[in-house]
Amino acid sequence: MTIDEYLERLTAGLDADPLRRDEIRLEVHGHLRERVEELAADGAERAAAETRAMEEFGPPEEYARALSGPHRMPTWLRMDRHVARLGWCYVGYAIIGILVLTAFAILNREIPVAGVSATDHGSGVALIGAAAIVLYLVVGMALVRRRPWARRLALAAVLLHIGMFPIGTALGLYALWVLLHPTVRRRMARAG
Amino acid sequence: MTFAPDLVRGNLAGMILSVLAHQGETYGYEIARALAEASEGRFRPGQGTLYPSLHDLEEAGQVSARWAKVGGRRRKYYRLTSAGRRTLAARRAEWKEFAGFVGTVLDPGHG
Repeated sequence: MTIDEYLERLTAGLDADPLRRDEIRLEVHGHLRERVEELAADGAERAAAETRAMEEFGPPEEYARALSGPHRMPTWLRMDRHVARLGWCYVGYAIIGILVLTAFAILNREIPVAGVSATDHGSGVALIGAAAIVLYLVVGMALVRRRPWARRLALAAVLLHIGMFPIGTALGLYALWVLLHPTVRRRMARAG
Repeated sequence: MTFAPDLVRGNLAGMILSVLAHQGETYGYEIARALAEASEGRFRPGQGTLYPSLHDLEEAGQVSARWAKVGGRRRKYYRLTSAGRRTLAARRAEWKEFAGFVGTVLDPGHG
């Protein structure tokens, strides 16, 4: 089998979009070429060097499976991705909060909360709303940056919004699932 | 003798992060070489599926990647992100505990 045939078999088995498939092919090709050159520089014949480089890489179909499989990612890495996603969700939630707060301020010139007119407490409620938004932004960015203290702060934030159906509730349930996952608990405790 | 594939696969992502922490920005082949060197030739890229791990790490934001042309060749260079640095610290701590535990159980005389 030549290197080109190896790459054909590898890319044929890949479950990826064409652009990604080309990138993987290019990357693996570069690796095999450098390995062949290294072995040839050590005195190996070109054909033997190519065979050895491909053998070291493993069967192309196996490699393609490893690159395409839905469960290829270790749990800790998969959960880490959820932590980042949750962080961006909090940033999005904060942006929604800013829009809602601004809309109420413009349309009503007051900010009602929990069915109680806020005429007298408008500025107080606005302050609380703004504080919550700042908290969500801080939590969001801290989660995106995987700050070890972000988990506890996010759990505290959940208490504030989990009752706000539907978006706050959905975000709260997702946050609880991510933050209480044993892998996330362990990892964020250790990172501190 | 090469390492058991399961042992390598379970720890490869952490080892890649560590290599990137030491070497700075580098590409797949150099990472494979660094691992082969550290293992005295017992690590093989196909064993632990190096590139799938690199792509996973990239997708998870632990490493960032860019393509560059060096000496007429296009290479994909990887670099550790700040999230990757924190993950590495966590993986190191976890590995230390785990290795201590396995050592105590498998080799109680030396515990």
